[in-house]
Amino acid sequence: MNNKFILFIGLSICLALSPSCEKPGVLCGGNDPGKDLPWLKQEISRISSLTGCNSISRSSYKEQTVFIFSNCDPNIDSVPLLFDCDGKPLNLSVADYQELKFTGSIELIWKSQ
Amino acid sequence: MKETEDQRITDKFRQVFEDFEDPSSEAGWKELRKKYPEASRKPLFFWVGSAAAILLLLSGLWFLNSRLPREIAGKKNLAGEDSKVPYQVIPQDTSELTSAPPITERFKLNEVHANRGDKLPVPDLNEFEIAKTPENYMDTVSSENISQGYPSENITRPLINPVLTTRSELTEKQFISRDSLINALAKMSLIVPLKDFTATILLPVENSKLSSEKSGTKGLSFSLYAGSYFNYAAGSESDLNFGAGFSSDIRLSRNFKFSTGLNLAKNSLRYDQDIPVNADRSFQSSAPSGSVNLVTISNYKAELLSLDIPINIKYIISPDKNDFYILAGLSSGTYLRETYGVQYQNFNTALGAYSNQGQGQQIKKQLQDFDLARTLNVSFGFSMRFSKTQKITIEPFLKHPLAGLGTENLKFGSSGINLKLNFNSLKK
Repeated sequence: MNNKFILFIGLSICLALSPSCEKPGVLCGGNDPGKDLPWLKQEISRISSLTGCNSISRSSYKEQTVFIFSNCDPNIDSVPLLFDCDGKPLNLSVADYQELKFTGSIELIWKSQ
Repeated sequence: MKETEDQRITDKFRQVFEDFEDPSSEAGWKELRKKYPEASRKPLFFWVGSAAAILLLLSGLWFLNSRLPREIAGKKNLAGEDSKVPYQVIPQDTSELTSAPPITERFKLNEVHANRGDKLPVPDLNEFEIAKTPENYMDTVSSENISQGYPSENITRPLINPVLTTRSELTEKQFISRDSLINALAKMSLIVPLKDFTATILLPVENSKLSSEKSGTKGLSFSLYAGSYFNYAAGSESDLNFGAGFSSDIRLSRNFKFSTGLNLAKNSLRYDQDIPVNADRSFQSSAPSGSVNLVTISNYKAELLSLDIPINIKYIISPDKNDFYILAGLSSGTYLRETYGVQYQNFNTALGAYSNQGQGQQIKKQLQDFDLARTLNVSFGFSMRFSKTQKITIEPFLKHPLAGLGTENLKFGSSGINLKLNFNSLKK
């Protein structure tokens, strides 16, 4: 009886803890991706030399962290460019762009002066 | 002259012995068969062993009894030729049967009378009594008998031969022992109640039945249960929910049961981050992200009232006590109601901030999807019996998604505790 009761309690604890074993989503780049990610640091320095309003934001898209390069000039109609955590561009189709919605909070990382 | 007389008597014995039939024994067996038909499952060795024992007994008894008339004749000769008769003869009517005294002495008959040439009647069992102790026979054995060369086995062996209490013919007494086993059984059925006698024989079988069906219940049980649990999914907050249902268990073997039923459960999910990929695919398309305005789903909620049909295998760890089990299986089901709510926000990249408080949409669906075996069930239970047919079970459980569930293909599971009230159906 005692052994069974101990087994029962043990299994109950394991069962209760099992869903919480999943790691919460962590965004790529940490708290300061402009410094932690070399490719992003390099891109920021490159874009900084360009004229116009440009911005880099971070959010989630299709279960991954993406970096959004966009023209922030309200008079220019353009589409944002998405890069993954390693700096590779995501090739989105026209349909993808027509339905483009991010699935996480959007955070501004860098914006041109 | 004596030899001729002896031979005649011997022939008479043999003839009657061969013609003897005992209808009462057949009736006895039939009565036994009526009471206990052949359908009862007994091991093969039980029947073989019983048959062998009966055959051995019958053959032994037949052998003994077939020798007895010859021995009588032999002893008569001895008595006739030798004046030293080693036993006292009490002749009361020995004018026609001079060889009777030795037998009467052995069986303690006070009087023997059998008319020469008479056909010996079939003995009536009701006229006899079974000897209760072997002393009746043993008392007649004297050291003198043994010293005279009489084999003591002839006297001591027929311990279960009936002692005639009537003054029947000597030959009757001898012939009875031919079917003595049958007679003994018939007699025992009179002395000991037949039910008790056979119950003693069948006791091992009955005991095994009792041990396998200790609870006295059928292999079918029903349960009503209710439980509380937390839903979990990647990115979702854990919400406390409730469910209820019933289940039925069908015994497959000593340790395994097949368990199924119906479960009504509310599932709610709330995503503030890590919104599912297809979260808004059922919604009307809103303005997509542009270069200046980025659209994001800031909040996503789902509430599903599921009708679940589990198919599980239950392993009972201690079948005798039936108090602890582990269960695993798959669930299929549909959703009586699905409610999804989504909230959008526009992020202005020029401002670097959200430009509005969000716009919400909500959709509802009913019975639009059936998920076949997309949930893995794992649980274990601890039961406490409080009556012969009822017990309470505490059952922690985990339902883990194997694929997307519902019309939005959300991967969510649940983990909680059910409280079950079990009802076992009694055997009729």
